[in-house]
Amino acid sequence: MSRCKQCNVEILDETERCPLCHSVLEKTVEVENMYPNVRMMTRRLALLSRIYLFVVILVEALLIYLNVLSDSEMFWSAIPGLAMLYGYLVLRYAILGKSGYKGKTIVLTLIAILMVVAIDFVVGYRGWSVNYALPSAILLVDVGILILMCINRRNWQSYMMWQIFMILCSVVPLVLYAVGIVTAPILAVLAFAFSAALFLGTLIIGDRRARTELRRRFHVR
Amino acid sequence: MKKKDQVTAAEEQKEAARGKGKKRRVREAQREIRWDRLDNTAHLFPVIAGESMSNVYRISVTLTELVDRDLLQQALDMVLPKFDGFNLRLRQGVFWYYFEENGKPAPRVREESAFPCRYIRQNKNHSYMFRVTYYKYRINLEVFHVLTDGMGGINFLKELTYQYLRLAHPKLREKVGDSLSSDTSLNREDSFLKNYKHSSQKGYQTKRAYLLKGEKLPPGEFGVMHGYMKIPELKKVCHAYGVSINEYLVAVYIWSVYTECMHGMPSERPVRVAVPVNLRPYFNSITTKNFFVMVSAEFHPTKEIYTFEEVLKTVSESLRSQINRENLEKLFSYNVSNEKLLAARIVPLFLKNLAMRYVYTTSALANTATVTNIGNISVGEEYRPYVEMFHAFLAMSKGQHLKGTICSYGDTLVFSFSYDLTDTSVQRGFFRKIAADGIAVEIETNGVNYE
Repeated sequence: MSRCKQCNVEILDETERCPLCHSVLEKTVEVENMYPNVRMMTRRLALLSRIYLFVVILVEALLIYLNVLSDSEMFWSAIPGLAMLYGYLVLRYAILGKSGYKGKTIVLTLIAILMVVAIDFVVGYRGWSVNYALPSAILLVDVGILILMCINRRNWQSYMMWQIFMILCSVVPLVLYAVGIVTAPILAVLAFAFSAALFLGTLIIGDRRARTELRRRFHVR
Repeated sequence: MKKKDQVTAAEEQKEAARGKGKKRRVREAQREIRWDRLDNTAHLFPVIAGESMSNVYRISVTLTELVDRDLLQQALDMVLPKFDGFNLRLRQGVFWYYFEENGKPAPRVREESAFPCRYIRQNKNHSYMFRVTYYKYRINLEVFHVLTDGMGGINFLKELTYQYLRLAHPKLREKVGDSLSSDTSLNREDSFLKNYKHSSQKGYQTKRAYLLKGEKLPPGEFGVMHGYMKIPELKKVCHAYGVSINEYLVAVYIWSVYTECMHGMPSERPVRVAVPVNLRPYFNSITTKNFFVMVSAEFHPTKEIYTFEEVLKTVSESLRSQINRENLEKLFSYNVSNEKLLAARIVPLFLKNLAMRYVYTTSALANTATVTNIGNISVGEEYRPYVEMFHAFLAMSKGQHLKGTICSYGDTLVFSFSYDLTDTSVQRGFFRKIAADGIAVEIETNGVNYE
């Protein structure tokens, strides 16, 4: 303990100067600090992700240069570029990011779909991205939900909102079919059917617990 | 042969236990999950909370002995299932947030290794909305405000401490047993809903106040400064001024802002300090959900030079005119009436969030700071020899960079500043004024101002 003559107060910290006025203290009794010293440490992973970004930019620049040199009609260097960008996003957002895994899955899947569409355009648009890749992604997420429900058995009902969201998502390829963008509707129909069946199955088999979950989620007070 | 028999018997026992555990899990999976609505003030917290504004407060207890982590964890594991109001997770519905029974193992007790009152993420910490840490003699409970206000936090911390002490001192356990104290409330009624009267009159201030500005501490850092005073000395001084301790301390805070930051000059904007009022005594409630409203102590310097007595008079009159049942009722009735409107209820949550964030940002700058009084904390007779002190403080919020929390135990009162500004002149002015009034002050900090 020490005394600040300027402020006329006792200081209980292990220090030589007053935290209020920064004048030198007069020491009276030995004391120990009651708070730990916790300055933030730099995070190694964040550094790693910055190094990755730098290397990716160098590699992509080289690829674009080679692309131009090779005089190819196709802008092929965009494909590895997109893949590396996706790698960076996974590192920054999925590994270092702090949002929940549901948000991460949705955002990363959405970005993956957009990238696949972009690649489709790069190699001369033939529509395979929207015909097959998009509904496949929806099916993949549906299967993921099913697996998560099995793993997290105690809270299986909490995935029902996600199932509803996936039904809404699976309507998108059907709408694209209606406006003529999707030309081969088999997978789109399958994705919609699977999403709807997953939800209905949970609702029917889950019975009361599933209904209560919906009541909770949709309560208007 | 005998040995072999023993081994098989032990295995059989294990097998039976495993079977029982499985059965219990299956039973649990079939049982209805308990859920609950948020109280009126809690709706706001999940919307505005984030890394920079955590809406977390800390209440801590200092013991007379070093804290043992394993015993503290054991105590938490025992106490948590008994507190429905803490055994929760936050879920997002289509129209509202809501609480759902958590049921996961209690969060891990850790040694304090970060700055206080950090944001509590919904999907971390076993989805619980509070954390328990310890350091040397101190047990810290950090609570996301959506769960409960200071009263509910104290309730839980006290029971956790009691259980810890019973584990650390088996004799104490023999004497008092492992059940919760009969003074502890587990009531979870929404007292806002129960006591509101239909109203459409807005009761709180939205005009901008004078705000404290200056260089900030490095990102993530959080300053804490406790000032200890003896209550008999404080009482003597307050008696001489003819005010309550609360009014006196709020007035000294405002006085310090007036002299240190405004340099005793007239200002366009008033210094307005938000003072949360615990509504339980006024409405005969023992709820452990949030049940408080904000009133504000206002001082607007319009002429040159005010004396401390003038500031104190303005502050105490301003507080006294607001802290009465009718006015308090009016203040929360407006908010509850809005929540009850059907048109507002059926708006999807994400739109509600946008609206709430807008209203919050426009009204957040109406206060210079918050000074809250947790009151005098008492502990059961048997536990008194082991408890030295209680502390409490709040996290920063938009526009408010220096908050104060009053808390007392025995005959010691501690005024805790929490801040994210490097300049400590308001704290200096505050403690110097109290010392000048003849009250001995002892200061303790978490060290952010050294180096």
